[in-house]
Amino acid sequence: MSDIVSSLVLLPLAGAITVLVGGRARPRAAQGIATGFTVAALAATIWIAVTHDPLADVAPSHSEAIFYPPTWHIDGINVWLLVLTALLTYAGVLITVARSQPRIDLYLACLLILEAGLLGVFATDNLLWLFFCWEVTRVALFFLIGGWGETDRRPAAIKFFLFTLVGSGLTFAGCGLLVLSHHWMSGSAEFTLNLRQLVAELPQLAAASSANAQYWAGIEPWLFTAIGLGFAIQVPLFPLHIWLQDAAVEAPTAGLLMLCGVWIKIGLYGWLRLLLPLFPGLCGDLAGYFLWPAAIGTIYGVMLALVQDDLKRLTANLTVSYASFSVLGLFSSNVIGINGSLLALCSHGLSLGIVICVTSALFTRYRTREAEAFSGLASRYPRLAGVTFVGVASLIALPLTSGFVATATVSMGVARIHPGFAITALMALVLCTWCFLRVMQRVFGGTFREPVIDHPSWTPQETITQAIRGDLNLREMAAVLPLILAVLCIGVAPQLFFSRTETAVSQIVAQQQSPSAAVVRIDDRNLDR
Amino acid sequence: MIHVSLISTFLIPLATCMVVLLGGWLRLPRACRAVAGLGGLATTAAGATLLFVTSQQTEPVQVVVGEWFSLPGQIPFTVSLSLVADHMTAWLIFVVTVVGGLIVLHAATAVSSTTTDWRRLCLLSGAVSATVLVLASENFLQLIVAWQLLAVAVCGLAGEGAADLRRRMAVRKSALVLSVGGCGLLIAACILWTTTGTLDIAQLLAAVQDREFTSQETIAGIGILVAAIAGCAQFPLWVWLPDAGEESPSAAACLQCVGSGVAGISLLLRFQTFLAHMPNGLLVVAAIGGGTALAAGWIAATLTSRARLLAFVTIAYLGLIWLAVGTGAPGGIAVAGMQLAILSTGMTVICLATGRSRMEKIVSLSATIGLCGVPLLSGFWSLTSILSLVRNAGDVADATASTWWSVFFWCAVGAIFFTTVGLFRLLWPSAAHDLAMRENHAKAAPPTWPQQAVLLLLAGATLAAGAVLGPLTGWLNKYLMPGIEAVGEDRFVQIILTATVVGGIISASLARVADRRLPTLVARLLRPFTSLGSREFFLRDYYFLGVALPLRAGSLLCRFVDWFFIDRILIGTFARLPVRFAKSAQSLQNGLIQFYALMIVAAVAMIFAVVLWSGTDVP
Repeated sequence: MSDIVSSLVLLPLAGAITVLVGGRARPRAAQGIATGFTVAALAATIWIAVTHDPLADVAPSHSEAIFYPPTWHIDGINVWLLVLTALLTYAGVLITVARSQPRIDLYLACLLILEAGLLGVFATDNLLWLFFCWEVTRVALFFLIGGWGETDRRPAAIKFFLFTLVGSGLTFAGCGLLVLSHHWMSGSAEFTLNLRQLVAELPQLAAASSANAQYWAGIEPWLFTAIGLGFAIQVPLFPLHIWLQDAAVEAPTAGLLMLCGVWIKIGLYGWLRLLLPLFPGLCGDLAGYFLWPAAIGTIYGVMLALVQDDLKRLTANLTVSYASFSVLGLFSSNVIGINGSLLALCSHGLSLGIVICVTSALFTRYRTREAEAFSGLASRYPRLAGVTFVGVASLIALPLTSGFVATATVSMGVARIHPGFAITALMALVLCTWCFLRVMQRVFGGTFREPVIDHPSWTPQETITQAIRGDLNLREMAAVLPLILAVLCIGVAPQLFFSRTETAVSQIVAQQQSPSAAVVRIDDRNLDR
Repeated sequence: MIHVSLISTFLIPLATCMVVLLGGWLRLPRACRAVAGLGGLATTAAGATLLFVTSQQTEPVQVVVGEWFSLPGQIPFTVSLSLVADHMTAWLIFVVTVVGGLIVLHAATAVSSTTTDWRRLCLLSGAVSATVLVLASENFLQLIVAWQLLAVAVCGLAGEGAADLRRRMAVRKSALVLSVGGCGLLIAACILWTTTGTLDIAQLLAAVQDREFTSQETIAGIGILVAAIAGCAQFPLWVWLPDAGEESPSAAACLQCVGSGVAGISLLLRFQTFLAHMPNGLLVVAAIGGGTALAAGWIAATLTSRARLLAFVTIAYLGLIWLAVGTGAPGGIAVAGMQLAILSTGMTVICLATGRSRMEKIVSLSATIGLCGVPLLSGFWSLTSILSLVRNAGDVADATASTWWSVFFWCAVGAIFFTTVGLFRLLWPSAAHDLAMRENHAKAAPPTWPQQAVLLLLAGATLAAGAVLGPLTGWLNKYLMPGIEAVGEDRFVQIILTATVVGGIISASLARVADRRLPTLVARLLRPFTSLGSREFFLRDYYFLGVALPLRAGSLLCRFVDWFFIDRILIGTFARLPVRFAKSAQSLQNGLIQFYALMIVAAVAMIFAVVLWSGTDVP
């Protein structure tokens, strides 16, 4: 399996090199090559997901390697995130209009490097590789936003980079300290960077002797704060969300797709991998510090979205809300809530991907994303309207879409902590329904009206091409169809998803209740999980 | 046989919906109408068969399709797909499938006006199927799924193209209110699953009955009430039904009333024991029902728009059913079932008979007199039972509650008076509003022979159902509540009801000529019925002032907080720091690389600082 995952991570990198070599003067060829590599990566991730044995998740891990050879581990936590990454990269490559993008070869290469980095982040079992891949994704996104974004792309890219770097720095500090703590407490001559080994051994080491216990009690809050806060910026948790809006609005379509669809999920993934299993007691005691901002964030994000006319800005604000919703599920610290949170991550990525693709298709045709500018598009573009409906249906949690199952399971999970959080999250859902209905009715309902096309940057050729507008073409349909299929498949048969995740999640929850974790106080309400 | 009949009540309309959808995509409008018509007939037959076979059974019928999904844990989370029908459920399914099926048949056999009729037929069949699923769901999450699907169908019927602003607003209101209801149900499901450990409704109710009611369960009860209020369009969530009814074609409007109304009442009946446990739960149900019935009846009597008037009359009658359920009396269930059947058939006929042909006038008159409580016809028996139940509840309650029940009794009497005035004003429109009525009638094409048959069948049922089901045979009581006596005849109530209905009819008749022929004083008294009529009845203002504007203000406030406090003040302060550092090395652009290096150095420094701080304890 390790070889396959190595190949999976290398595949987009190979694609990036091939695109750079063979696609500079031929934009369509570059897009074709990139599509081929993303399809291959997608096929590989699906194959991994299908053949993945959930029982293998519980196997212990030991690795002596510091950095090379890289070690990979696929379990229920990351298997669907790999598929999501591959799916959204595929959609991002296909939705890009090759002829209108300057230096398409570089753009696609950045996108493929971003995919490789994300796959590495999710698949690696080594802390150093995790940080290396994470930094690669940050740099790739920085170039995507700064190089191919909208008018104010440069300040937005810098803001994005700086803000997220603070989070990265904090997490790096926390994880460095974690490795040192393991080294000191174990008394071993070697440093271990193996993630699962650290997670499994640190609580045991802390309970092994009174000196270790004393040391761990002193350092644990520092570690918790550094890792928790570092990933909170990445999530982004209210009120640390401010970087996302500018970055998302200024990003090109594929960048937005990857940023809101996958990249911010690294924060939640990090919490799930490190914070929950390592600090079960603190996670129980201090859950309120995550749950309250998350509850506020769910409402706050939608409230911000309610007054947006720009579809991209609306998407960015809703991302804050949906990410906060996943945080609620994660800190419910029970099997249902965490499984729901994982599903919510994927569901949000898929549904939002559909909406972003539709926004991009509109922008390609009319060079505007203002909802006010459109009316009655459903009569002219039925396919566009249908595709948008599926995405929105999932975002507002209509039954038979992945969004409904995610909402139901997260609500059930978080209600066990406190029903107030579930009520808040569901109220946010009602507001979200309103928000999307307003936009859908404005854009697709009523009598047909299209914006006046007078874009100064358009060449005459572009104007002629865009003037012949049609419904979603084959390329655009090919980009969104896998996303739609995934949304509906999970919605109709959610057991497909949960069958892969439940073992790994149960293991995390069990780890929170294990005797070795009992050195830290476990809240009474955790006992009945 | 019994399992097949139960599952076919759900699957036949669902299959019809799918086939019509396919036909619509393939642009086969005639085939769509034929399939929908046949599907409507088959649905009706399936509902009737189910009623017949369940009457031979004493135990509930259950069809388990399988497990949708499950998750492990100390409290296992299992969502199964199953349909369950006890006698009450079978009766409600019978009402929905017979009336819904006939509505679909009526729509399918209409003279086609557009090539997109298939959408309406598809949504109508889908709504029937979703309503059956709501009624027969035994798992709470499955119930929520069905509820949301019904909401989608209802909103689709209200929108259907959403060409103008009013229609779009109607869809938005319907979607919002019904999603509030859906969220109420989800909140209830979350809490009840947490406290009882099951999502099976029967087990859940049994678990709650055996112990003390907690505050969390009160919240769950409120969630269920909110859903029922949204479905039945009771106060304060009633803004959607009049708008949706006005902006929909008549077939869609009556199915909205029947579908969501029956779904809401079924929730109320199913959770009646749970609500009875809630502190003052049933009194709240009765108060909502009584208050809504009176207010909606009053509004209906003063409206001029036919569709809005019918919507408010429906809301008023549903309010009366709430009142009956709120009494908590065992006979209340049978009374609610009877009134719901009469309301569904009667309102369907009045909604569908929009033309000016003689036959339509006759069926409309029959349904009106059957529904509004003219002595010895259907409505009379069911309304008498409701009033008797309320009066009896007042007799057995304590002093405070007794006062409330007296108020509710007179609220119900007032509601019956106003709805009678409203319904008869439809038959006898006043000269001032005749024009508006004519506009509605002018749109309607003359009914085809299958439509006439549907109307006659439903009108006959409205006239006779109450007598056959209630006082003459007592069949419904024996079927729904075996061993429990039907509500006894109460002469006082019968006299009051007769006087109220006759008074209503006379008022409607006088209101027609109020300004022209009656003395000034009488004309002035009746003026509310003739001149206060308004299409909106301030609901738009209520919606905007109460819901839309506060939310928009909240959103703008959030935007300001986001821009000013978080971005400019809080984060701006920290964000300026790297720029200051960067000024020391201008040759490197933007200070980015310095900051990057700085952060890494800071991270390493932090590690060492923490190590040094707690270094003495390092083992």
